[in-house]
Amino acid sequence: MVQRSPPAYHTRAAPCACFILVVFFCALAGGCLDTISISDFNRFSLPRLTDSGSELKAYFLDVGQGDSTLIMFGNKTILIDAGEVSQGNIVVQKLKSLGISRIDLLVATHPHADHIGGMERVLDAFAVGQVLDAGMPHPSPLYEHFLNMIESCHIPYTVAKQGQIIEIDPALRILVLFPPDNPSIEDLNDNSVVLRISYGTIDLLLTGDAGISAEMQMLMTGYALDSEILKVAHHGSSHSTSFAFLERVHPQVAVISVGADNPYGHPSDTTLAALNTAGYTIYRTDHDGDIQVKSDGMSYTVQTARRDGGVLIPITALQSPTLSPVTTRTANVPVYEVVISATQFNAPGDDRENLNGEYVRISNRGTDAVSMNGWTLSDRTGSHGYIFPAFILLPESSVSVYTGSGAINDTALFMGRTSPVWGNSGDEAMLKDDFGNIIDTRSEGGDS
Amino acid sequence: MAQATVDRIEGDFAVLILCNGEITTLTLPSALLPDGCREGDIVSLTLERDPRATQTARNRVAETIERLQKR
Repeated sequence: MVQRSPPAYHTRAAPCACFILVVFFCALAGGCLDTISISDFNRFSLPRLTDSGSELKAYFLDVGQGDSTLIMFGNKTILIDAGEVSQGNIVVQKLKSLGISRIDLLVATHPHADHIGGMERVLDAFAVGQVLDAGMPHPSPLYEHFLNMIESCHIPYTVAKQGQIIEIDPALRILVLFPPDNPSIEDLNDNSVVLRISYGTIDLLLTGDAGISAEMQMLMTGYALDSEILKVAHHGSSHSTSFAFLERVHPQVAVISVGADNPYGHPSDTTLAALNTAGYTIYRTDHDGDIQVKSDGMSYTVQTARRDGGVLIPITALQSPTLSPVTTRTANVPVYEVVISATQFNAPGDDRENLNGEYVRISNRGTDAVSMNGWTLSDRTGSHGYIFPAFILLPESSVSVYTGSGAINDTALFMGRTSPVWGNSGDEAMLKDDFGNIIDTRSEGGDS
Repeated sequence: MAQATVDRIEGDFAVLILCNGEITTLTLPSALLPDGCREGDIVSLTLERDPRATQTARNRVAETIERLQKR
C-alpha cells in the first residue's frame, strides 16, 4: 500500500521563531546506571503541591497509527512526537485549538516516521524552545530533515540520557528513564525516550515504542516506575508491555495510541489480554478519539472525545487471546541459565477436573533477566505447544506454566487448554527459545 | 534508480520511505526485503517490466473470458 504525503522539502521562507531557553537539563552525577542510586534523588527538591495550584493536562492525540502526546502545565507546553507526515497538520490544528502558540519542549521519542513525520509542520507552526531527541543516527529523509530544521532554526538540542531531570516547572518532576548512557543495542524502538512525569502523587509513564529489552533494562535500574497512567508502548504491540514491566508500573489507566485497522495488528491480543487481566482501564485513540488526563496532583480524571462526559467504560476484555509467534529476532543467542526445575504431569484427582494441577516450572538461575517472548514449551509428541507471550523471567525467579486458565502474573502463566496436555504415564517437557534452540528438557514418569 | 530508507519493520511488514522531491511511504511484506536487511538500511528499488509474465497473464484472462462465453 502506498501512502502519499504532501511535498515536504520546500524551502522555508518564514524564519523560525526561536527563543531563549526556558528548559534546563540537569544530568545526575555520573549519569550511568551503576553510579546512580535512588537516594540520589534527595539532592533534588521534591515538588510541593501548594506551589502551583496548576492543573496538569495530558492529551493523547488521535493521530491514527502513530503517537502524539501533549503535556500542558500552567503556561508550559511539552509535545512528545507528532504522528505521521499526513498527521502533521492535524496535530498543529489540535494544538492551536487548545490555545497553544509555542512549545517549550519538543520530544522525539525515536526517529520512526509514525512519531516524527509531523514534526516539520509543528516546527513550521510553533516556536520551539528546546528539542529532546533519542540521538540515534537513523538515515531517514524525514528524520534528517527534522534535524536540519532544528539546526537552521537554532533550536537548542539535547540527546536524552537516563537520569536527566527536566525542570520545566518547580511543581512538576520529569525524569528521563531511557535510553541509557551507552545503548547496548541499535534497535530504534528499544532506544526510545521514556519519560516519567510526576505531579504530586500522580505519575504518568510515557514509553514511546520501547520494547521488552528496554523494559528489562529499566526494571534493572531501580528507578521508580509505578505510575497511575501508562501510555502503552509501541501502539500495544506484542513486542512490548511484558508482565514484569506491567507489574512494576502497576497503572490504573492504560492508554494506547493506535490507528483503526492498521496492517500491523496493533494493539496485540496478548497486550490487551494482559492489561485486561490486570484490571486496568484501557483507553484507545482508535476507539476514543483524543484522550485527556487532567490532574490536580492528588487525583486525576480521564475524558475522551467520544465518550460522554468522560465516563469510564472499560474496553471489553478479550477472553481467550490468540498467541502469535514472534518474528523479530536478535542477532546473538545468549547462554541462558534457564531450566525446567519441576514438573507435575499427573494432576491430583481427575486430570480433566484439575487442569491447573498439571504444570511445568521454569527457573532462571542466572544473574540476568531473560525475555521469554516467543519461547515455546512442548510435550513428547511435539504437539500441544505453548508459545510464551511477552514475559520477563527475572534472576532467581520461577514461573509455572499451568495447563488450564487463570490470571497471568509474574509466577504463573496459563496454556489456556480445556483438556490435559501432559501424559500421566510419562512425558517429557521441552523448552525452546525463540530461535528454536533447546534450552532444557525434563522427563517425569514412565520409562524415560 | 530510486532509493528508500527502511524506516522500520513491523512484524510481517516493512515500512520504506522514498524521497523523490516528495515523501512517499511504501509498505511491503518484510519477506520481500533482501537477506540481512535491517531497519535504517537504504535500499535501491528496481522495477522491471516482465513482458513474458504480462503476456501469459493476459492470455490466461482472455481464455477465461472465452470459457465463460461458451458456457
